Parts: sequence; C-alpha cells; structure tokens
Amino acid sequence: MTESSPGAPATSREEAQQRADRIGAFREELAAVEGEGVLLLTKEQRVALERHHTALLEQLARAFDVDRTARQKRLSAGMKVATLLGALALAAALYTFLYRFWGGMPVALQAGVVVAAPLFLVAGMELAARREKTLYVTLLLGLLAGASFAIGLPVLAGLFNTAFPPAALLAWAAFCGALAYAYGLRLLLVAAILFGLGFAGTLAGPTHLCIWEAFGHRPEAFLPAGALLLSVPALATHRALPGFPPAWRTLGLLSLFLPILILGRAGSASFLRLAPGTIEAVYQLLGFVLAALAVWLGVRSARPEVTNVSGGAFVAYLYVKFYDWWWAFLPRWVFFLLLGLVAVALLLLLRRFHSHSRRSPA
Amino acid sequence: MRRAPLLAVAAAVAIGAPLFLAVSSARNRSGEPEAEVVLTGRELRLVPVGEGRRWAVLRLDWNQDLQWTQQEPGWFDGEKLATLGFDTRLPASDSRASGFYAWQPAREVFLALELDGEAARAADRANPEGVASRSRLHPVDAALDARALRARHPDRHRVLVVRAVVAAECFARWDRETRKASPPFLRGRIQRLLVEEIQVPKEKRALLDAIASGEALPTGAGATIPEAAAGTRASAEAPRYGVVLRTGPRLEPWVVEVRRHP
Repeated sequence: MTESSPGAPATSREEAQQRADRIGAFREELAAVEGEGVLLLTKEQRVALERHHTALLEQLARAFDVDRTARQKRLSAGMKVATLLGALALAAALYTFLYRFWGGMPVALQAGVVVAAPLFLVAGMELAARREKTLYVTLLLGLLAGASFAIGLPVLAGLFNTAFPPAALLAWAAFCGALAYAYGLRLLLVAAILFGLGFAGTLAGPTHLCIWEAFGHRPEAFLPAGALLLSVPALATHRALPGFPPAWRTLGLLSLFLPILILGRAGSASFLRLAPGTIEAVYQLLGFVLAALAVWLGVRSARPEVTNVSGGAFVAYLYVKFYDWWWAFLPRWVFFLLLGLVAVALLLLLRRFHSHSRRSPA
Repeated sequence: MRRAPLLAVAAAVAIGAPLFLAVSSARNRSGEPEAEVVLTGRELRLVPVGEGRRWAVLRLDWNQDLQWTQQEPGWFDGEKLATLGFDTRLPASDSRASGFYAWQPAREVFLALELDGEAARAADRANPEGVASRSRLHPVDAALDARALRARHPDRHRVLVVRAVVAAECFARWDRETRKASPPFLRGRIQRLLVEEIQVPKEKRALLDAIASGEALPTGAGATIPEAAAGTRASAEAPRYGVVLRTGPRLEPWVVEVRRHP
C-alpha cells in the first residue's frame, strides 16, 4: 500500500489537503454529536483540541498552501482551469509567433530557439516552484515546456528535411514524465503516459517498424503497454505522490479494455492469424472475465478508480453484446427498455451486496 | 523524489533529441550523394504563403492524385504488395477482404520516383489535360531494400529513391458507361513520402520567396523583363525556377541550388 498513516506528517500537498479536509470534517461531526448530546468535551479538552488543530492548519497552510474553506476550494478549482486554458493559449501564441517569423531567422538561430525554449521554461518552473506552494504557475510553465518541446521537434525535423520518427513520442514521454515526478504534477504524468501509449500504438507488426500511419491498426500493441502501466504502482511506492498511482492504474486499465473492445468487434485487426470470428469470440470472453476480475480486485483493495473503470468496461461489453443479439430484430423502444431493465437488475443486485456488507462490515 | 536528477533527465532529453535529428541530417548530407536531380517548379511546387508565413517552402509533387484515378493497379499490384511484406493471403474477391486489408497497418518502404520516364509519358497519354503543368515525377517501383531498388534503377540523375509509407487496399473500378463496379482487385496505395515538404535555406531562396509572395523579383534574381527587376510589375511573368535536389544515404532530400529555369 502506498498511502501514509493518518497521523504521519504530510509529505506532499495532496496529503496535507487530505489532512486539512479531515480536520474540517471532524469539526463538523464533533459539533453535530455535541448538539445531539452524545458527547461533551470538557473545556480543557476543547481548548487543547482547538489549539492543536489551529496550529496544524496554519502549519499546513504555510508549508503547502492548502484550502481550508469551501470558498478556497472553489477558487483553487477555478485556478486549475485558468492554468490549463492559459497554457493552451500561450502554446498557441508561441507556435503562431514562430510560424510568422521563422523564415527570417538563420538556421542556427532556429535550432537554438527550438532547443532553448523548453530549457528556459523548465528553469522558470524551478523558480516558480521555489516561490509558490500551490504550483499553479509551475504547472502552467510545465505545460508550456512540454508543448514547446513537442512542437519544436517536428519543426526541427522539417528544418533539416529529415523524417520525423514516432520515437519522438518516447522523447516527449520521458520529458513530461521527468517533470511530472520532479514537481508532482499529475497532468504532466498523464501527458507522459499518453505519449508512451501513442508510441505503442504505432507498432506496425511484431517485427516491423513504428509508423505514424500504423497507429491503432493493431490494438493488441496496447495490451503489453497497459500491463506495464498497471505494474508501475505495484513495483514503485509513491508515498510522496499519492495522486500518481490512480493515474497509472486508470490509464493502464483503459489501455487494456478499449483494445479488447475493438478486437471483440474487429477480429481482422488482430496480429493473430486466426479466423476473425474466433478472435472476436476470444476477446469478448476475455473482456468479460478481465473486467469482472478487476471489479473484484478494486473492491477488495479499496481502489475506486479500478472499480469504476472496470465496472464501466463490463457494462460497455454487456451493452455491445445486447446490441449484437437484439438490435436487428427488436423494436428500438423494446431494445432500450431491455437495457434499462438490465441496469435496474444490476442496481438491485448491487444494493443487495451493499446491504449485506453493511450488516457485516468486516 | 529528488528534483535535480529528474531535471537533469528532462534537460538531457530536451538537448539529446534535437541533437539526434541534427546528427541524422548531417550524416545524410555527408559523403557522396545517393542521387542528384534537377527538378522544376512542376515537380517542386511552391507551397502557398499563408497569413502567418512569409517564406517559401517547396513540396515534392509525385502525382499522388493520379492514384485515385487509375483504373489498374499497374506495377503496384498484389504481387508487389506481397514482396513488401503485406499479408495477401485473402483474395480480393472474398467478402471479408475489404476489412482485412483496411486493418493492415501501412508500411515504410523505399520508393523509386522516375523523372520524365515512360510512366510520365503514359500518364500524359491517359490524362492529356494539364500535361504542360503536370509533374514529370512518377513512382515506378518499391522495395524493402534500398540497394536492390537502386540496382534496378541505376540512373541517379533521373530516379530518386526515397522513403515512403504505403498501404494495401481492395479496389473496384467503376465503369461510367455500364454504371457497374468491376470485381475487386488488390493494389498498393502510396500514402505519403517521409519527407515531402522541403525547406530551403534562407540564403538560397530569394527567388522563391519573391515568386511565392507575388512580389517583384529582386534585382539579379533572374527576371527576364526589366519591369519585374525594377519592381514595377507583378511576378506573373516571372520565369520558372529549377532546383538541384540531392538525396543522401538516409534518402532524405535537400536543396543544393535554386536557379532560373531557362
């Protein structure tokens, strides 16, 4: 397990925010039980508790700039959106600026701009991270650095009239991944993982090159990549970055379930030299088994992202099978009625499990 | 995690990747060129200057559009596809063939582009409209081995060997008179060349920049009429241009010279 114990000092902003949220929830619940007359603290206990929590919150705010009120949380959410939009706009400005003035620059200057821009932005990230605890500006600069590096490489390839290889996706993944882990920025981690998956998708065949146009033609290329993504949080503890393992697991599961869904419909897309019908049947069965197993594992290990993604995949597979069986000969309203009835049946089944677990929580 | 080693990794990648591209390009331009051809504005089209850009870029025109109008597979038939490593075990007449070939990934191959050869003359006979402005560059062969391909087409001043991406497809001819499609057949389709747009160094493209932006030609840039050289007439009367293009061991092109085409 990678989560730290509740009483341990926070080592990341995420842990600090979780602690601040627990204190807020505790205060509310304490007021409720005192109001109901269940528990009454002595004056000394109340003062000691309040003093402890106040000092702790101030310490967390100084060290990690956590949100202590609902209003602060809303503002933080708005700042995250503004960061993303700002990064997109600035990246577009950078690209169009270069496009306008590129031709007037000598080759050496062009190459220098392409190499220097991401490095300057990374330097900016370090300066920003030392001044602000919330890392919003750091994230904006990080997204810009990633965008400038991603844009710069094909521009440089065009400048040199050299073919631009899909291996560039690995370079982008390494760059974004290193920055993600350096500053604990999950959005950059997601970008890194997606770049890596993109490279896996360009594999044209077991012994062939990676080609841009081959992307997605062999969905099985994503399966080992998905397994690798799922293994990362299992092999490496992320105590200081508790938000990272769910990202690895979510994208790893999607990298398995989506290709299996495609192969269950299009056996011709497989590497395997079998009849397409056989391939589709095998992958459909595999999909159901894997999704059910993952749901069970997710519930057992208390990992909501695993449960949610796997449950969604299971339902998607089920609905696709219903489409195969009934869409052609049932009236539309009957078809959707059946889907709804299946959903209600699943709900009743899950409620039964829920009641059972409530009676025996252990 | 400690930040310094991770930042070092990011910096190494940010420097190493461009360096790799630069070294690849330098290696391509070193030593004996693989081929050298003289092309005109018909084969190396000026990409239109847009709102944001003010410099000329050349695009290699190898008659890609003719692929869509060809009614026969020509040299790029099922047999050629098999030599390029495509799985062609399913006959085109099979009902599953369309999906089977659509899902096959494209492949990177070596492509021979012939300048002003028999393929160009055949294309002109089949499509007489626009002969004067049509590119004389046509794909004539493909292989997985560049040396073997060059051995079959040894003229390095008329045949360019380049890297391209090709795919297999099931195709049926449409007969306008009978309004019926022919039985499907297998053929190859060239999706793109790995390097199609060619950047020209600033010091060599004064003539191209002037033509592309519709300005009067700069003095000494090869104008044929005094008015164009003096800047008092638009470049519609500007002469055509010729480009000396070379390819290197990596089969990537670069511009050696831009000259006024006589």
